Amino acid sequence: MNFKTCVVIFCLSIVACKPNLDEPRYTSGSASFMRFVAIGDDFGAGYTNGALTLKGQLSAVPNLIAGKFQLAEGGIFTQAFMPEGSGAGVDIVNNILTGSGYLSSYINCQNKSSLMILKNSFDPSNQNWLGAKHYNNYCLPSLKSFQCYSQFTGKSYPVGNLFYHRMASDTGSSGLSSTVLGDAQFLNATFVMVWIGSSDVYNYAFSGGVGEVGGLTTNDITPVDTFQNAINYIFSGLTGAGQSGIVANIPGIEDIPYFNALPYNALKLTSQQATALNATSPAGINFIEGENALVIAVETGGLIRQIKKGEYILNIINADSVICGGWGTPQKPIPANYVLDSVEVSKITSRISIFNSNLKTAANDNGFAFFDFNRFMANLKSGYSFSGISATSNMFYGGAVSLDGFHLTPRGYALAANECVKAINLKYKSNLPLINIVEYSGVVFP
Amino acid sequence: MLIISRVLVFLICPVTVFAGINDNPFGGIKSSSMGGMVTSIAFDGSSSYSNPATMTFLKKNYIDVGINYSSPKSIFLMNTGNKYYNSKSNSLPISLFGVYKFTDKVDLGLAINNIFQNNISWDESWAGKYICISNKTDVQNFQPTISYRVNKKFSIGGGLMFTMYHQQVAKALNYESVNGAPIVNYNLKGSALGLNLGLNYNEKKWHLGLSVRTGLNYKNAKGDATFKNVPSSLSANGILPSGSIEATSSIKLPSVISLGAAYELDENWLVTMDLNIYNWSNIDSLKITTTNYENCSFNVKQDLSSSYAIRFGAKYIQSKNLSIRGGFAFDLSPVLDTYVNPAFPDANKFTYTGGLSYQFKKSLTADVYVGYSDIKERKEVKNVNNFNGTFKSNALIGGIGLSYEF
Repeated sequence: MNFKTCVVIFCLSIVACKPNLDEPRYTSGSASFMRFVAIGDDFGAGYTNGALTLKGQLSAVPNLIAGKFQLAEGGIFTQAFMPEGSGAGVDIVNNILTGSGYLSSYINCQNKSSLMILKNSFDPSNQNWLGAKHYNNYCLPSLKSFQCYSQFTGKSYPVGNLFYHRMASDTGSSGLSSTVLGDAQFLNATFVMVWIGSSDVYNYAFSGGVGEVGGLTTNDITPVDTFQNAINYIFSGLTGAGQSGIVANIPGIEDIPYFNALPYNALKLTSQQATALNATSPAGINFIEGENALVIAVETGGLIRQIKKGEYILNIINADSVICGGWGTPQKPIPANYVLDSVEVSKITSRISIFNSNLKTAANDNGFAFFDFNRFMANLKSGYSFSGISATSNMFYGGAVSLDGFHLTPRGYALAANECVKAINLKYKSNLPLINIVEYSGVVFP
Repeated sequence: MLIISRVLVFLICPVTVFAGINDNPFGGIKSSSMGGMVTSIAFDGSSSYSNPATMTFLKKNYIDVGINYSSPKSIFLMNTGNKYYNSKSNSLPISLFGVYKFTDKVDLGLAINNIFQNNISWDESWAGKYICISNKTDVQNFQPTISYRVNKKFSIGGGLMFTMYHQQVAKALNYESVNGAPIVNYNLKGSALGLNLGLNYNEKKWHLGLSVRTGLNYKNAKGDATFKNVPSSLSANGILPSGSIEATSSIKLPSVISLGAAYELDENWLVTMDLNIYNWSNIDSLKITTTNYENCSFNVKQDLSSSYAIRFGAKYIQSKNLSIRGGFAFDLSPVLDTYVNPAFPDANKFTYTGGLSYQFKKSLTADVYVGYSDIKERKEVKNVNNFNGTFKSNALIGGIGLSYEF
């Protein structure tokens, strides 16, 4: 070996110095990820900042899981993508269509720089039908359990579900609509995700308790037997040939920022203010220096009272309205339809508990993995840690809950998807890697 | 030329892999080529640092200048399957040593050298960005030294270390702007005094050395934190600062006790062995505090335990002009399991070195060495920073020097 050879070897050895590590071989365990179909509502759709957007769809939990499935013989995962931009959202409170929300800086009533949520305008072309196709993600915003198999959701019916109308497999001209479940069945899935039930309960909550408990219209809470039947239909439609899958459940109202952004005792008073208010207050309402429970209108009879702990104010009333607008005082009580009183709250919580127990039973009966989204949202209050930071459900700064106060940010969905991956690995002895949370954005500040 | 090429073949080709993360040589080029540090015998002016007592057994006066090279390479395989490589972060610290025979028994010395270095940087958008994007720390030493030969066999020595600490750290903050996460850059400087004390005993063919360097406590390192990508809404509402802010840190570097022995096999062969004990135990986090903005501080949990390194070296005098050196070292990582982090992705380390000295004029010797540190794979599953995956690093090291004797 001469000198030159050695110089070459030396140079090569420097280049070869880069250390390397090999990825483990990923396997699907006892599950098959070949054809994956998800059926459900807003959360599985990746709804974020009050709208369905392309960015949200890309971080939808089923899509993130599918990305990991593809490392273990999983197939492609298609979605009815929104065009890039502001997407489409349903403002349940005002019953209008909107674009996605975004943060903006403004000077608040106390002359301090603060943050407010603005909404992009709605582009009607975002509702356009995408043609007769089938997709892998049939999680649709606002979809209730029984609407999965109902023709009334389909294109022949103008009310239906606009998110389904965009992607339905039929033209809607035959008089017989395709159904969400029917379209989902078409793919003969080997792995199924069922994440339904939130719209069955929370439309009622967002309406301030205006709907019926046990009804089938938009603001109602779905009857118990209807929900159970819907779950049975979904499972009989999508299983039966040894499918594996995962079921996720419904979050609790106490863990949702939308209902907790304004605390019940948000009325902060000086002793002078308290004295002045007491002079004109009706019997039974007494103010003290410091934190006081807000005053609300009672639904009937024109009466007012102070709100109790465990009752919720909808996030339509913002802190500015209380601090400077005088809302929450006897002179300006918070309207009843902006409040969930204790009776309404107990209806919501008891129905969530029944539906969640149905979902859990369905998961067990069908040998599916289970993602306890209810517990996830409870844990999110104190937060999930990853890569040196953490995300919580605090509005704006927590990073996991989007500006609508209910749905998650891409980062929040990535955290949820990680819990799904863990549940799937546990159930089916697969070894899918986790999702790299920091690649998904939280709340973006202007 | 033929001889040199043969020597190069001997030095380089048999070594399968060469590289070390903080493996900058702290002493001279000659002892670096023998596994890192020789405390039992003096080769040149660098003995003023490696063991002050030994320099009084040098027969001449020395001035040595050296340039060291270190190129650490790391990979992180995250538990998400993502792979990340560190960015290029070479460094070229320069050292200067001198020894002067003041009297027959008293030698004066000076060491100006880099005595601690950590140099790691990652891409700004990588998965560990909220923990650390880069961490460049170095400690520069300026050390006047004196040694006294008590008798023909025994000497003592000591130096006063004036040290300057410089740390440049960057990380991302957990707020998001339209341009990505805000990045904070910390730049801190501090100073500390230390002592470098030594004993040297020589008996026939045996040389024994003991050196103790005190810990260095940078209690009040000060500097600033500067920011980019700060969303204007968050500087307007006071969540993040709008300009640079003051930053402080407090870092302790460990005391080091070294025991060394050298044995002359014959006229041409010398073998050495050294043990270094690092007393790291008093550090529980890498922390930089920012004034008024706690959310902008740097805080990586760190638990370091005392560690040691063991080094073996050999020198062969090939001819009147040429000496060949080689060495091997094992460093036990002070970083405990679950505490491995991208600011200091340390692990147990094997280092292989080789070098030569060529005297091309009567009073002038050129020294060169290369080395490779193989830093073992380290897997974290319950990491305190919730950053789990496997780190693997290596480093190519080397140096050239010129030694003038008179």
